[in-house]
Amino acid sequence: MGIESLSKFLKIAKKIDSLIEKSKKFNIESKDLRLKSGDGLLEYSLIAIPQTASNTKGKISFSDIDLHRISIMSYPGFSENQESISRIEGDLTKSFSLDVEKLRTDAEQFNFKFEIKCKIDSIVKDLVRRDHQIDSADDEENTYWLHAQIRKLKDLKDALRKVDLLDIPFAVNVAVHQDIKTKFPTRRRRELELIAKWAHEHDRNKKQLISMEHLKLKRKRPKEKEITNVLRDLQNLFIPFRFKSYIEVLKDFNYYDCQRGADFYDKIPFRTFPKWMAVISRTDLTIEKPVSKGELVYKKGLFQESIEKALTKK
Amino acid sequence: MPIKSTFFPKEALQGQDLPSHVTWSDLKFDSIQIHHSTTMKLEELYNVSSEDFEISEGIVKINRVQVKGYVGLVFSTKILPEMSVHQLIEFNFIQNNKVIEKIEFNVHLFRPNIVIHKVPDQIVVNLTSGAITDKILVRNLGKGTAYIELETIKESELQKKRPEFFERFLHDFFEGIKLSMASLKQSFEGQSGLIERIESFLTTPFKFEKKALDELNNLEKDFQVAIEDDEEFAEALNESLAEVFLRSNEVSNLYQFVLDYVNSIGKEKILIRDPFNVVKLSNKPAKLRVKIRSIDLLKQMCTDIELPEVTVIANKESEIPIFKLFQWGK
Repeated sequence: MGIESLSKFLKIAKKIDSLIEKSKKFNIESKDLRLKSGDGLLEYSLIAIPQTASNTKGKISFSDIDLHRISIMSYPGFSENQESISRIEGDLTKSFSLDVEKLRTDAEQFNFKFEIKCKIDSIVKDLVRRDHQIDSADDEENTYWLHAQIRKLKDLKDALRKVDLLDIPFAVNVAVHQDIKTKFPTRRRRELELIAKWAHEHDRNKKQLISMEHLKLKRKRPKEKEITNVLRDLQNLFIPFRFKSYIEVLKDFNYYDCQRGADFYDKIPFRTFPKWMAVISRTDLTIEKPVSKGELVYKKGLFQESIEKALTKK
Repeated sequence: MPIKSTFFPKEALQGQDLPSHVTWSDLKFDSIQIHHSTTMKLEELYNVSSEDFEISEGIVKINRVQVKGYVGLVFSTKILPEMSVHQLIEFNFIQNNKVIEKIEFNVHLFRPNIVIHKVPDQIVVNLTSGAITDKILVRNLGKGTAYIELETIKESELQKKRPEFFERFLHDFFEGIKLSMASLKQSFEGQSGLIERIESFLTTPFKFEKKALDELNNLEKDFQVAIEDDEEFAEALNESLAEVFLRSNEVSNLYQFVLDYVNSIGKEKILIRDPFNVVKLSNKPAKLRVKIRSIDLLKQMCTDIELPEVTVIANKESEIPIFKLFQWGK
């Protein structure tokens, strides 16, 4: 399932360090951490210098540690040394051992990368405080503030040389309900009412009367777009690749994706149109830059223009 | 400039946590003093050890940070008597008893404010023409979004109920949800706990009450995490719900649901839950007693409003959506 807190990661890191140090074959020069949120991985990276007087034979086994992958680069020359890594299958863990003999003998420096699976949400929660605007007071323009900050900067700085927390996710519910409502004309609502009434009516004569009324309504505007086409075109506006053109994510955050937001309040989700779109953006934090601030701009005016077009343009 | 970056939200719902930070370089100081409204409370402080700060009424004094150049804070807020207030927050960097750097922030804290503007003694409904006079006027005078639930109380002669078509739809919808969630659980084993909670939430009655809202809050938070982390799952869940919705419906009902969607949105950021609920009218005058419950987008409950008795007079027997007896916003 993967690790879920900084303290658990630091324990694993300590174990790795201790195995390498105990082998007496390398001196650890630096320790870096990279959280790859998108992949659900923590990458612990060590720069190690071979000890000159050491025996180049022997293996370092990481069998107690559940590792996703190990990769090794040697310098100078930037060459990979993957042949020195072999996999150990444990009962509950997957790990690796390092055959020192198979490493390049002329290397001056090695970069060991240990990838560890992690529970992204838990680890991000432990490391980062995330906040964003929930409701917007402005009716005209909707801007949602976004903010992220590292909680345990000192712990990270004391243990590691470099920390990159990459692609920390933020889901913000952008309200779209008022825009559809504002643009949806009363006569179109009346038309929907008549169609729904017709559908629920069982009496043939009454059905006939409703049809006549509908026809009368349509005759008033004979060139008006068919209601089914209106609904289809409105629906299309909420397809993520279309809706993203109404979103701009500024400053330290980047747009990643959007989806129809969950309408749990309504209990029975109106699968017709969403009231919210969940917009996902991402940001990076480091020891040198422990905070991110940004804005998610919902281009309300532009979206309303598109609703207008969907309602009228054939 | 020694100050590199600052942040405090410009606006937020009352009750929301407010994050803040200041970063700097090459700045020597004895302390940082943060002056804030007493309606806010320091909730979290980052990069400061527990012995290096003091809290007094409306002031946070930080004597030392752990790693140079950054301090992070989170303040909690609460629902205030005023529906809209602007509050000032001041960060002062002090050296030798002098302010060497001053940063000021202004935050607008708002909330919805549902008020009943007009309750007529009687409402006349012409079910032939659709004309309704006079309606009950409900307004949201605040800037925050309000979700409204309408309840007919025990003493009311007119009781709200679901229309027949909706009962049929619900029956099929619940069956569909059970089947579709079971198959989703197989494809996304890691999310099975969340799927079970969504299923249980969608298939059991729910009212705007504290316990249910807390559960909903937790469910929404976990759902949020799932869509942030696993877009494949989010897409599959959305598709399953859409499919069940379509399968449970006669095509003609879709127009009804579009109508319900439009009807569930009032002016002045009022959203109405269950706009499909109806009351059955006859040509005999009947008493209506309604309670309005509302919540904001943080799912904080606003005060319940019980309306005085209204007599509803119709010209024939028929059902009418209860929300139609109201005017939502101006």
